[in-house]
Amino acid sequence: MAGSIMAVQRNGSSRRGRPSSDASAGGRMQGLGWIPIALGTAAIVAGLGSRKKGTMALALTAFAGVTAAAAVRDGQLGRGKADSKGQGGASGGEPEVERSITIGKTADELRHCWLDPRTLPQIMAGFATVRASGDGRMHWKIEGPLDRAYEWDAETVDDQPGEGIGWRSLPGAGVPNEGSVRFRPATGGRGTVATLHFRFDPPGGALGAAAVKLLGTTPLDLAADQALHRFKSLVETGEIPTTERQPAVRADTR
Amino acid sequence: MRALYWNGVNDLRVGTVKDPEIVNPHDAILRVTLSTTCGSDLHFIDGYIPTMKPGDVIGHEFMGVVEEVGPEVRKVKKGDRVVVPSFIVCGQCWYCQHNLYSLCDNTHPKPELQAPLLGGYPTAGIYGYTHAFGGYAGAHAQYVRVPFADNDCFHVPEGVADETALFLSDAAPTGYMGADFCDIQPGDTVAVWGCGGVGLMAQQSARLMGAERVIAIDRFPERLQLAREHAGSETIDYTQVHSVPEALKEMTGGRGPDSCIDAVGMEAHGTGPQYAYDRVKQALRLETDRGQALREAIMACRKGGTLSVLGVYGLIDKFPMGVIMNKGMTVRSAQQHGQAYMQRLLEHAQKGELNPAYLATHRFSLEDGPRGYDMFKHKQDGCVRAVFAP
Repeated sequence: MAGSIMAVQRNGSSRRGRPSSDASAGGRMQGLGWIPIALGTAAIVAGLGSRKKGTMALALTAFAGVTAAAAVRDGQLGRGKADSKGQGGASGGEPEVERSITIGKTADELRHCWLDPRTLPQIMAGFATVRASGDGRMHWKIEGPLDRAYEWDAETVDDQPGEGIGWRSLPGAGVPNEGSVRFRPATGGRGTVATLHFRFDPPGGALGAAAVKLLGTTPLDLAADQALHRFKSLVETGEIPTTERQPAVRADTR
Repeated sequence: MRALYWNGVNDLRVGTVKDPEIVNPHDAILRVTLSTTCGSDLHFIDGYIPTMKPGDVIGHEFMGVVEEVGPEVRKVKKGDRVVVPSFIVCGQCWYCQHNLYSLCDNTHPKPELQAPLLGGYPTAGIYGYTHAFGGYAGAHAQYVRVPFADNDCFHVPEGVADETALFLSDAAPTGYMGADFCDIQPGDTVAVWGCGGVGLMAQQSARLMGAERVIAIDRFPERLQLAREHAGSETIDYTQVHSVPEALKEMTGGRGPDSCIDAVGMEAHGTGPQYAYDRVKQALRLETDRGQALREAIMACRKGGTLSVLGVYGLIDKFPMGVIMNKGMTVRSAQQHGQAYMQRLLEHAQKGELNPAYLATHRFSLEDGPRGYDMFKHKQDGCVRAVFAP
C-alpha cells in the first residue's frame, strides 16, 4: 500500500512545479478552497494529471495509491491547498502509521471479527482489495492510477488472543510491508482500543532512496483511519455506513 | 423518480434520478409523503457551508410510508406511516447509548470530509446536507433510503396528521432540545431569538416545560404574531427597539432572562455597525458567520444563566467569551438528538399540547421546489415553511 507524493504537496508545488488545479473527474465539489484539506489529496491528483513519461513518474504515480485514485473516482475532492502543512506525515524514512479507535466491544469480540474472512475485504475496501487465501494468509492488491497494480501475499506472524494480530508480506512482495492490530482495554468501561499499525519498507532497485524520501504518510493515515472506522461500524452495528448506489443527478453515481 | 437537487450556489433544480435501493441490511425505503424546507438548508444553498456537489438531492425533514425493508429490519414493515429524524443513528455506539444521537459514530461514510470542519471527530450523517455531513441523498424526492430503520423510523399514531408529524423530523425536536438544555425551573423567563420553525418550537416547548414567561425576538410581523398566538410569547421586534439586551433587562426587572435560546444561526440579520462589520467580513469570506443574535443572547442573559445554541454556525468573529466567563454562564449546544425526544413529542402531539402543523404556511409540489425555496428564503407572503408533496 503506497504512501503518496505528499512530500510534493508539503513543498507547496506539484511534482512538475505547477500549482494544483481542480480534480475534474467525477464532478467537482463546491467550495473546499477556504478550508485546508487534511490530505491535500487533490494536490496529488493534480500532480498526476498529465502523462509524464519516465520510470520515476510512473512509479510515483503508482505509489500514489488507491486512496488518491479512489478520491478521483469518487470525485469527492475538488480544490485543495497545495501547501497543506503536511498533516500527520512522517518527515522522512519509511512510510508508517499508527492509529487508534475505541470500540464498545471486548478484545475477544474484536479479534473474532477481525479474523472473519469477510472483514478485511470490507474494511480495507477504500484503498486495497484484500482476500483471505487460507492458512492465515491474505492476498493484497492495490491499484494505482494508470492501471498499475501492486499485489502481494501476506502471512499472519503473530496472533495473541486478547492482544492482537500481526502480519507481514511474504518475500518477493514488490512493496515489503508489515502491519498489526492490537487491542487493549479502554478506560471507563468503554470497551477496547484497537490500534492499527502499517509499515512499508522502501523497495530496492530503481526506486530506492528517492522514493523513500517522497513517501509521506498522510494517505496512510487516511487509510488506517478509514479501516478503523469501518471495523468499528462493522463490529458495533453489523454494517458499514455507505452512500453507494444512491440517487444523484449526475453521470458518475456509484 | 423525481427529486429536488442542488446544482450550484443558489441554483436548485428538479430532475429525474434512479430510485434509492436497499444497500445495507438495516435499511428501509420510504415513500415520502411530505418534506419541508429548513432554515439550515439556506447555509449550503447560499454556499456558506461547503462540500455540496452538483446533483446532490437535498431535504432532511420528512415523513412518509415504508415501502421496502432490508433483511435485518424488525420494527417497521411496508405500509407503516413513520416520521424520521434528520440525523441517521446506529443505536449501538457510546454516543447513541448516551442519547447523544447526532454524535453517532457509525453513520458517516466519509469522515475524512468532515475532519477539516470539525477537527477529526465525525458526527452522525444527515440526509441531504453536504458531503461533509455524510453525503446521504435527501428527502425532497419521491423515495428516500433510511439506514437503521429500526432506530430511525417512528410510527405516527392515528390521530396525528401528516403535517403535524412532518415537523417532528427536525423543527420540533430541535426546538424541544433547545428548551431542554435550559433546565427550565418554575418561574423562569426564557428568551428565544428567532421565530422561524425552530424558534417557534423552542418557545412552545419552553412553555410546556414550565417557563413562566417566554419572550421572542424577530422582525417579521407575521412570525411575531405566530409566536404570540401559538406559544403565548411576549415579543420584541428588534428593528423597533434601541437594544434588545436593554429591552430584555427592563422586561425582567433588571435581571435578564434566565435562559437565552439562539434559533437564528449564521445568517443572522441585524442592525447597526456590528451587523455591517459582519456583513463585510462575510462577503469577503474573512468571517463566515453573522453573530448578531448570538452576541445579543450572551449579553442579555442573566448572570449564571444558560445560553442554548441551536443556530448552525461555522466560524464567528468577535465572540464575547469574556462575558460568558465573567457572568458564569452555562453554554449548551448540539445538533438535534431527535431520537431521544421523539416519543415525548409524539405524545405531546397526540394530546394536542404541541402541534407544529401551523408551520406549513405554504405547500408546493416537488416540481415547484425551487420556487418554494425562493419564497422560503425571502420570507415572502408570510412564508414560515414551504412543504413539498412529491
